[in-house]
Amino acid sequence: MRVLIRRVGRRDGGALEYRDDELTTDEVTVGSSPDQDLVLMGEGVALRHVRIFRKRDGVFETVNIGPGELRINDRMSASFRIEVGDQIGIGTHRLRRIIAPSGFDFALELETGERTPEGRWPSSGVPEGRGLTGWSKRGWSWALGLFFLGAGLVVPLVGVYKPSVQMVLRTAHFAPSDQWWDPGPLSSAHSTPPAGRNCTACHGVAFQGIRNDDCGACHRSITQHAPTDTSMGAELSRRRCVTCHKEHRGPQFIVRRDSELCVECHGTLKSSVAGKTGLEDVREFSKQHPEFRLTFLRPDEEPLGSTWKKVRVLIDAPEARERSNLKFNHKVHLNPKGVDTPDGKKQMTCQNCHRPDESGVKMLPIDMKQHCSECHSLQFGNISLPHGSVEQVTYVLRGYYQSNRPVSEARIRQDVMFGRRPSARRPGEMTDDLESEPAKTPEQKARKAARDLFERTLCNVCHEVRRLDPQQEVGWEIKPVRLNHSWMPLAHFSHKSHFQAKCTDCHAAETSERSEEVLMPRIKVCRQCHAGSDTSAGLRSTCVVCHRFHLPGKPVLLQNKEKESGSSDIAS
Amino acid sequence: MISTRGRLGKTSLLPVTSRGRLDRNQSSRPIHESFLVYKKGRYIIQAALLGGGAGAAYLFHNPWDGASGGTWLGYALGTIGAILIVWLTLLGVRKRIYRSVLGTVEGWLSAHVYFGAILFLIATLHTGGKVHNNIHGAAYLLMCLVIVTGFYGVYAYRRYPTLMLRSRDGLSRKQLLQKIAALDGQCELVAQKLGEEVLTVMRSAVERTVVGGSWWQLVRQRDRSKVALPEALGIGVVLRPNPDQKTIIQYLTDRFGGSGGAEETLWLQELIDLCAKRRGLLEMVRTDLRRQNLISGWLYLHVPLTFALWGALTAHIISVFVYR
Repeated sequence: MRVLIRRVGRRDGGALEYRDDELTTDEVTVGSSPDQDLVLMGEGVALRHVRIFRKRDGVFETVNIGPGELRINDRMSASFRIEVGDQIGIGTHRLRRIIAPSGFDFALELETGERTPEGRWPSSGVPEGRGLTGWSKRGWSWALGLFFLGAGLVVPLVGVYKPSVQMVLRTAHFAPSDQWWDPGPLSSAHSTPPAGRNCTACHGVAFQGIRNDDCGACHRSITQHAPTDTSMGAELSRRRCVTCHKEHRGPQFIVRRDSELCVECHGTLKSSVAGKTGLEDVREFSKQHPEFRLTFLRPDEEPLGSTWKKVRVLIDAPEARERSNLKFNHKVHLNPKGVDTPDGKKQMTCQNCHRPDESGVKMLPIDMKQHCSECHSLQFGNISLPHGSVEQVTYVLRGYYQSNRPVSEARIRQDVMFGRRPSARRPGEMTDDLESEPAKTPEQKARKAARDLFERTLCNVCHEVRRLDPQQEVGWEIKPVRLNHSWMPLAHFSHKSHFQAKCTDCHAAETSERSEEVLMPRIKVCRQCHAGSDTSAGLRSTCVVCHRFHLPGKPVLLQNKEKESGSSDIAS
Repeated sequence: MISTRGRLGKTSLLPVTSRGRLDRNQSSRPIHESFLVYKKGRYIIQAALLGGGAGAAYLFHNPWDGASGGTWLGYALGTIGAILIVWLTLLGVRKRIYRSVLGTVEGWLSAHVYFGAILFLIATLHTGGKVHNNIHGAAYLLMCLVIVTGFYGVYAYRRYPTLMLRSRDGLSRKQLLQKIAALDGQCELVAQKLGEEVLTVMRSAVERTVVGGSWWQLVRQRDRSKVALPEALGIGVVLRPNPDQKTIIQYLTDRFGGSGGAEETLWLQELIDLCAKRRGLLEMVRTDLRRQNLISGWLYLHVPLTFALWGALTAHIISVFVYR
């Protein structure tokens, strides 16, 4: 039969502890001898004390076989039929029959009242030692739990609602302040005052999250992205700044750089705001981005050149021609054999005229005095003609000839032809006109010189010159010049970032003969390197590589919202 | 009939897988199975599914601002982690409610171990690898410490109960102490045959035998017993360390060849034997105490650290909503 013997003990704390032994035997022998099935020690236990067996009728009986006492249910007995619940006392031990679990025929529970030699060794007190008695899990647990709750939450929270407390907490060393909540490094701009270690500079109201007004306290000039008269634009202007500007993650995520947000609207912009936009749909750069549109400057006719308006034109369109009123031939200037200068042949490069600004991002404007006048000199005889005013030039010429200095025909011819340095050839040189119609008086000489300079040899080389009245001998109009300096104002392009490329890789200047020709590259040129945002082939380029969300010239986003209705020159 | 010696028992609260020399003929399910394979590893499968799901979600989740506790998945993982921590802590409550019908403590323990282990993964994914020197990092660190101490607890519960049962040779610790006490008496009786000096020294060795001590002393298992030996000149005594009863045995060994003759040699031999037996039993008790305290000691870290974690976790959760 299978017998379960369950020993019942008590732990130090008094909790019950069970230990199960199982054995297969015909009868269970109990005693202090090692050959017994159940070995019990201590006083009053005989070597072979009792045996417990199953009789043929299935009844279990216990028989005292040794000299020791046997107590059944606390009464002395020699043998007994034992039922469930009966108790057998042997020495200090108590065996109780319990209901046998499934798989067992018989089960006993053993409880032992052992005597221990407590206090036997004076140096140790209790022989097993103190161990962890006296230590309290509970005390430590509450202390630690309350410490972290108090220092991590309660005290800093008091500071949030009591600024005077907060100031003390923030300045004191090791004091628990709201800086304990700082979830990570700030971007560099926000790590200095008034932000920096002052959480409440941005987190204005507790439990409310950062409001756009909190950002607007400093970022007053941040502009909107889209007109708010469309549902998309209105929705954009209502979004929280922090949806795109994530702080406490280091500098990496302070600006959202993926294209997802842009494509959310611009992917289907034409259909969703039909008729309200001239913008094409964009999904990504490499395949679903429209051809570039350039912003041209167009002069108003009346009064001439007083204002210039900006017009966006597709780069492929026939009207994509610059009307700067300046004549310029890139091909001639970049002739690899060199260009004629007063100092002889000189080979020019782009950098002779196009110099980057200090940031290296944009090119500095072209300036006549700085970039042209070395060759295109305005020197006339021993005087320097002023640049910019027809009246001033004619006045200076008149003064030149009316002076007492004797001026020969040949000298005038030389002056007009070569300026001060007769040996040098000037661009646009004309040689035969002066001889055919000799001048007499200084006034006649001045008029003649002016006519030649404006219409033939000097001004009209670069400028559009028109005689105001064909009947009059003098009086010219020079069309105002305005060179376009910002072809794609909605895009950000850094020349510095593209230093590895040659200028002519993108700008076809070497073959351009007319100033009307636009030398801005088409999108396919950019696509030689730049790919979409999801590709692994090519330079991965998201929208913000070139575009900015807060557009210059748009109404201010965080303040003065009443002005927003007056927005919207696309090219501005 | 099986031999009594080496028969191994198992306790309900300290489950053991190794069955030692148990009856191999039994065919039915063993009364106890390890909490680690409870119900054929039901909870290891559930925990692995949870961990696998969280890991897969993390891999496919690709927010523009990088993985962190602030994304939707970060919030989801954080919520799961917080619920896990609350539930894992409830084991301490469940095991005190004996009338509970919410599953067995054994089942709870099994689930506690596996879900506790997977909590490390869940919480680590929740952080997105961004742990800084702040209250949030403190909560994460405390959680890691709780889990590490828990791992040690699993190790201790797997290893030491079996070792303890084996090394005690089937006896309880109290029985070992009773045996030592009996040997103490016999030592004294034999020492009486060897004269006053030996009796005094033997008594001091018995009286200054140290078994217990603080938790640390018990775990280090260093014998701090002492014995008072007579000075070289025979005037007064000097207290000497008696680790493993070496000093007293050496003292007795040195008395061989004294003036007492053959009878004294026999008694000395007898006493040395008794001391050696006593030394063996003391060693068993100390080893047993060491293991007992290793089993119970880790909980003195696990539980207070859990409370500390609760404090830090509460601060973490509320503080991120104060300054959203």
